[in-house]
Amino acid sequence: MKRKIYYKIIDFCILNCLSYTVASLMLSILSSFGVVQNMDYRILLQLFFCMTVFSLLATFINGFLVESRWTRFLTGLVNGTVIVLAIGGGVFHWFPWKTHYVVLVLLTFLLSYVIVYGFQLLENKKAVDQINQILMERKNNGRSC
Amino acid sequence: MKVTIRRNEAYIETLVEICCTEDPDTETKELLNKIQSIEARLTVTKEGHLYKLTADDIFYIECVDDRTFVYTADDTYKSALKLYQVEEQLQNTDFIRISKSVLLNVTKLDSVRSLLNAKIEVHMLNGERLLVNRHYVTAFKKKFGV
Repeated sequence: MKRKIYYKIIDFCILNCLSYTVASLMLSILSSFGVVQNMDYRILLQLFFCMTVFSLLATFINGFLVESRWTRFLTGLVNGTVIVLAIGGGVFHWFPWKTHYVVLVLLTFLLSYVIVYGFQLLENKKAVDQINQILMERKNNGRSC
Repeated sequence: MKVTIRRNEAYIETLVEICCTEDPDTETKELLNKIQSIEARLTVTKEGHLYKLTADDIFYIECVDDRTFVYTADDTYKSALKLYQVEEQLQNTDFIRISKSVLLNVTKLDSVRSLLNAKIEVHMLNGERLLVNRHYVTAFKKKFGV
């Protein structure tokens, strides 16, 4: 049980760091093109708060989900959209409630989400390659695996 | 790791003594697991006969409809124990939980493959394929030090 919680915390930390990095990168790019203005430390702290809530919810919800790729992907997407709109728009007032701003924010979030999801898949692929390497080395050393 | 083997006809029984730190290196851990796998035995039945399998004989253990089945390279046995009891019995061996219903012997792996749904598919040495569910993927990677 303790080990399960430990692994959940690791998953949460990785997701939190990854999503915050990607989201702040996206914001920086938009800011450099003048789409986002007044970007300062407060926005970055608020963004960190949003990504932490998102990661916490994602980790918590994933524990109850069926083992389906699409359910997981869509739930994460809905979870993130709600947080960006409710906390980002509602609490922190990142953007005015006009259609084109909301669409722009949602598109930015969607792109960030796809990048984070892709990174997670790549991370899994890298780990699997390392495990295969270990298995191969053990085989070559004459062990049973 | 230093290994000393003393062979002498006067010895009646094999004695293995390992001197290591509280938190030994990966090689020593593997050796300890291997020895514990040889020591750990599981009582199983097949067609009314009782057998004692060493952990090293077992490929994986699966719970289906509250019954526990033990799979070796080419045979299937039944165990009277629940999966969590087997898991306790095989603690500190090369077994790891890969889903709610399966305990896997990682020394019987041929290769692994990542799937798009964040699960891992494992290919066993006997050609069987099993899935590591998402919730157990981190622990599975950790078992290999990844």
